[in-house]
Amino acid sequence: MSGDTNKIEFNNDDPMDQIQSADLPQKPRQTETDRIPGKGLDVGTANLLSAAQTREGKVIVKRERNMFLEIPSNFQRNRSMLTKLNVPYVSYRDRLYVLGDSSFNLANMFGREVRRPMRDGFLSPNEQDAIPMLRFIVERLLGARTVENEPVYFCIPAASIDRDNDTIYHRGVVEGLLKKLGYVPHAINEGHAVVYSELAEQEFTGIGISCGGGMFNVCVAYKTIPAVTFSVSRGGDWIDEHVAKVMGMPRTRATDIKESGTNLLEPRNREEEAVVLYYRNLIEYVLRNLAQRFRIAEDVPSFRDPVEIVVAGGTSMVGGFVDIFAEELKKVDFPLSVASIRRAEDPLTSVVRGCLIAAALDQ
Amino acid sequence: MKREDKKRVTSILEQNAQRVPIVELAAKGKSHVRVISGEKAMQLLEAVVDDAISRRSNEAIDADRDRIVGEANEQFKRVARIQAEAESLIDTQKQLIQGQDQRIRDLEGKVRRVAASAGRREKRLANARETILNYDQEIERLANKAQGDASLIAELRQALVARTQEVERVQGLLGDLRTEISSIRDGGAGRDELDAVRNDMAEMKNFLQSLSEQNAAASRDSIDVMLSRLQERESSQSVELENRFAATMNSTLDRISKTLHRATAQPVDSPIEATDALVSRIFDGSMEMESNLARLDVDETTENDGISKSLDRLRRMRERALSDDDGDEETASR
Repeated sequence: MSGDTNKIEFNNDDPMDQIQSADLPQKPRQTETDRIPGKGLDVGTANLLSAAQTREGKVIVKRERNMFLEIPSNFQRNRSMLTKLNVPYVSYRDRLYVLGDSSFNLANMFGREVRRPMRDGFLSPNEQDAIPMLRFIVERLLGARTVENEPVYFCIPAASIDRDNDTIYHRGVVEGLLKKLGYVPHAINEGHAVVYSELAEQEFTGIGISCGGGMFNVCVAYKTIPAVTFSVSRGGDWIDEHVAKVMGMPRTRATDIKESGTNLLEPRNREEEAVVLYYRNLIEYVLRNLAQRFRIAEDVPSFRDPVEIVVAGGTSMVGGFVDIFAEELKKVDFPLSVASIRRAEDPLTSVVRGCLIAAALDQ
Repeated sequence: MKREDKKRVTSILEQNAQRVPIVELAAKGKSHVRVISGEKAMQLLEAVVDDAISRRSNEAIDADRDRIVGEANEQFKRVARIQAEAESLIDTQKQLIQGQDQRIRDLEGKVRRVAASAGRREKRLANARETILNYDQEIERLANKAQGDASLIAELRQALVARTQEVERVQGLLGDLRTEISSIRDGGAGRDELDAVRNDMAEMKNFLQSLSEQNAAASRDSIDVMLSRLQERESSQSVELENRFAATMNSTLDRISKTLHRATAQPVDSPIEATDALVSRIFDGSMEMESNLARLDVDETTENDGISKSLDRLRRMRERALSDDDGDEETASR
């Protein structure tokens, strides 16, 4: 008849059972002594990334979402539970905050909105708790210093052509924060970082565009020299905000839809169609401003050969982005001859690798 | 063969046998004769009879056997058919039983899963109960606190009432006094006393004046002495006084300049210093923050390609640029 009736089977999908099961095996960690001094840091609106190089020439990249979520104070007693679930938290002023990816997942589960230390590419002045949270996330990503006074190259956005924003406060706080952690900070333009990481074959000549959450950063470079840099203050967040508004959903839900396999060339439902609509609008907006910037600027170098355009950043990772970009480029009277448009091989880490290259070059 | 039967056969043989003398047989030319004993004859007869019987019975048996075999075949076929039907029925029953076994196993598994799920729900319920209990305790604590506050408010109210009554009482007394004073003023009952006091005061004044005139002469001499002493001291203490004066003036000037400076202070020129100060203040050690970040690993990805290609090219371009610059300098120096 039946098998052993005394055997009880656990459903391993239940996290409660995972907590009560045996301890998870610890994976071996690379120590800081394996690393070459010099790190890159991408301080993005949506994501923070750090990069370091090992002595074997490999690049270690760490990523965390740049957001946090305040959770009910009764969880103060369950902090050990959060640690077991690998959820990073900070207890600050009698309040409990969950950081990074975990905050995004929790917010999605409970239908709440996360809080963002940065907005539109810069530190948000409305978020009083932003700087301490940012400090913890950055500290978590950078880890321990390899050497004393280790340099860190972090990216900063260029001045926006469509908004009056001030980079001084943002840059000053990030520099101060890194100094507090014992590093020697250096700033590098975000678009320039894309040029460093993606245009090596073209002798670092061409256009690098970082498509971030808060803004798009553009850098036109000629043999490593950034000739034109500017930004537009619309990015992935702008798309999320507008899709959420028209579809009547929380923003985090709109972000989730955008990052869950949407293809701009083949939208599957009304929500994805809305995403396509705003993507096209954003790309067209960037290209029109880029073309205008070329026409009015006096410092644009003249390129003998057609230039390559490389796009990077999380917002460019959606399927069909390059095709849509090429379609919209044809509609704009672009003053440069374009050889090709391509996306970085790893769009999410392109900027941070560019920062790491700058840090390594400095050594 | 039975005795009766033997007797009967013997009598039949005797009846059918012929006694012939031997001489007669010889006269007939018979020289030899077969002689058989009666007993032997009986034996032979018995053998023949048995043989006949058995042959006949064999014949009967063969026929019967054939019949029986045929019947047995039929029976066997019937039985085999029944057997086959029974076996197929048994197979069907076995399959049914197996199906039932499987269903039972499935149901058992389901029961176990439901039990496990119920166990988990129990745990969650217990956690929720504990949370509710904590909330209840918190509510009770807040209720007690509110009650304490309410009693404190009641005491304060009582104190306020008592003070108000006291104030009213004092105001009443004050009113009485005012009434009394006004009545005294109007009635003139105390006027004589007042005049007497005035006269006393005038006398006292005259007395003090006379005293002062008497002392004036004496004090004039002592004043002269004091003046001469002051002059002596002045010369020795002038330096000290100057120093003290200078110190006082300097401190006063400092205060004035600081006040002016604060009033006319310009913004800090270096924004980095200001943000350093801001960041330092934010991360002041007095701010208590606790986190579990040191106990958690960060997910990391390793890229085998690395940045070596870009870095090498950049370094080569930089070296080229530097060597071009050196060449230009040499040309310029020539």
